[in-house]
Amino acid sequence: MMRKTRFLAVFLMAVLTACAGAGHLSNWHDESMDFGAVKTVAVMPFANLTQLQQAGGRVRDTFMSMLMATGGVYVLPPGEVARGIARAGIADPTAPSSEEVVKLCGIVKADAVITGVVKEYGEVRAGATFGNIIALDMSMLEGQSGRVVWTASAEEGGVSMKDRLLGPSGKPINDITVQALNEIINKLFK
Amino acid sequence: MRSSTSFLNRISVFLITSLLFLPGCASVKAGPAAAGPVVGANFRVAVYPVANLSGARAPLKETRRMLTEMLRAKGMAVLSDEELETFLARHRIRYLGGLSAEESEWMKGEMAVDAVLITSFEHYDEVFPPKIALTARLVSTGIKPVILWGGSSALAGDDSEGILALGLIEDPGRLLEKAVGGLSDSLTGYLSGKEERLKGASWRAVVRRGTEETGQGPPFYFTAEAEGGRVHIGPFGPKSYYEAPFLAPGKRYSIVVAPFLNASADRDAGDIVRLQFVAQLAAIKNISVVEPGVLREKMLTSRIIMLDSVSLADADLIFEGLNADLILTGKVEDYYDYQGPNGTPHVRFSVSLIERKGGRMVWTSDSSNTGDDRVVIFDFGKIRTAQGLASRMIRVIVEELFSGPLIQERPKGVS
Repeated sequence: MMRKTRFLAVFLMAVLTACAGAGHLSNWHDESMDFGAVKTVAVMPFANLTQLQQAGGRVRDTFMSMLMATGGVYVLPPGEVARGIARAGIADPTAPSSEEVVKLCGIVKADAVITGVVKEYGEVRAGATFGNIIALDMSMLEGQSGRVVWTASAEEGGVSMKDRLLGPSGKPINDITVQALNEIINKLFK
Repeated sequence: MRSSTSFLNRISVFLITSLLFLPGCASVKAGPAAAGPVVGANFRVAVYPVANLSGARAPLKETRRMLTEMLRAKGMAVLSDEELETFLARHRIRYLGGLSAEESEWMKGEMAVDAVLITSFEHYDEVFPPKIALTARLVSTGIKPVILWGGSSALAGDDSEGILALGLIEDPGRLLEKAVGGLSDSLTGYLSGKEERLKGASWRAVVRRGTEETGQGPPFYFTAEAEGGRVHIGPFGPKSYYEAPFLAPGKRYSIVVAPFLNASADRDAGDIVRLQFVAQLAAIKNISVVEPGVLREKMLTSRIIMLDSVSLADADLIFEGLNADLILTGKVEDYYDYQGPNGTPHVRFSVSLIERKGGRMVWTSDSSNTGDDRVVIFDFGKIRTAQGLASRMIRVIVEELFSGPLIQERPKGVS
């Protein structure tokens, strides 16, 4: 009887832990790349796979000012990036090819291009509980060759165990976005 | 014992009386403080027809009539309706949201008008409790039009409800009168020299330069770097920002506020946020704001089409054509006003500032707030209009950029 209870407790803990919403981050750097040489970057419009039409624009704006705030790199104004995209004739700015990246970097005088995909943004429900979530991928493409030199993906928010037990925390989507972007930026500079 | 009870009774009566009268004393916040030259009695003003950015029917003619009457009552010479109509018809002027350089010269030369008052209705809601938001600016006439004064007024009927709802304003007409009164008081205060301009950015620039040269102290005195891009300057400060030192001490800057990209559900949110920036920047002493009408004319003649904010090539054209030092632009992501007594407005926008000298962005920030952000208990401190909220958010940015009182890490020995 005692053994069964222990097994049940362990099983329940494992299930509940698996259900808990938690931050997740994966990251890859090209070892042969000298990231210190990247002084100016162009942040491309982010692809938006969510239902909220403005999600890509919102995350991009926040990311741009946060990246600038680090003082590590200079981020080109969005209007300059748009001019470069138009002049380079990039059909899909959310996923440029290597040739397009090289061409764009030549026009706007950038050392690298950052692309992003917003996969989830907004409210998520789990039973009676709800919470805000963000999931995004980002890549950096080097301006000379157009090859990918850094990728990262982050996920923040969602419904955690605490939310299930004590009710939703009500953390605003903006705070979750900043948290996820902070993690991504920290990984970029590591 | 008796005397103590009597004393307490007196205090209670005093407090209750104060609570009853306080809502009535609540004043209109008519935007930022303005510059203060004392003008002569023959200073002549033309009041342009009120532009409607509210997206709904608004009492435009009534507002203009009230403004004109209030200015006349304060002894100001106002151009008559007939004269203004004749002038507009003669020159076929259709755009009344700004004043171009050409129109400004005509106004001065033909009508002997010293300044033009341009007003916009930014929100009008008659549903109880009514809500009203107005912005106005006074533009000088002549060869180079300059914004002399800017102000805004955002009011809701339940802003100062007070005890037993004695301060509640149910009549939209009364609220409009209060809003227009606030604006005209602020304007006449500026013209009579009673209102002071915000101080400006001299000490801050000196401090920054000193820091750059000596290499001591925290870099640039902005906390964004230290906190990983996260800054809190009060509840209405930007959520993240970048700032590079660019101000030279004692220099007078000319700034152009370019159109804001609007990605919100409100059709005119870009213009509303832009006009708020114009009004608040006009209050800074060592800043000269280029009239939006002049920029519009320049963009039309140079065929500048903004794809996604201002490109550096367009910025060069604007810098050269208007002899400006800075271009401020941005994007409005969210701008929401609620109807009725329950709800909260929310505003979200990003701003970037491009400097002519280096051809680079020297400021970029991301702001997001709701009207409840400073509410701790009940609804005390709630902001009920999106314009009122945007105004507070913008004020923090403008002060952080140019006047410096919000710097958190002020070095020792600097007053």
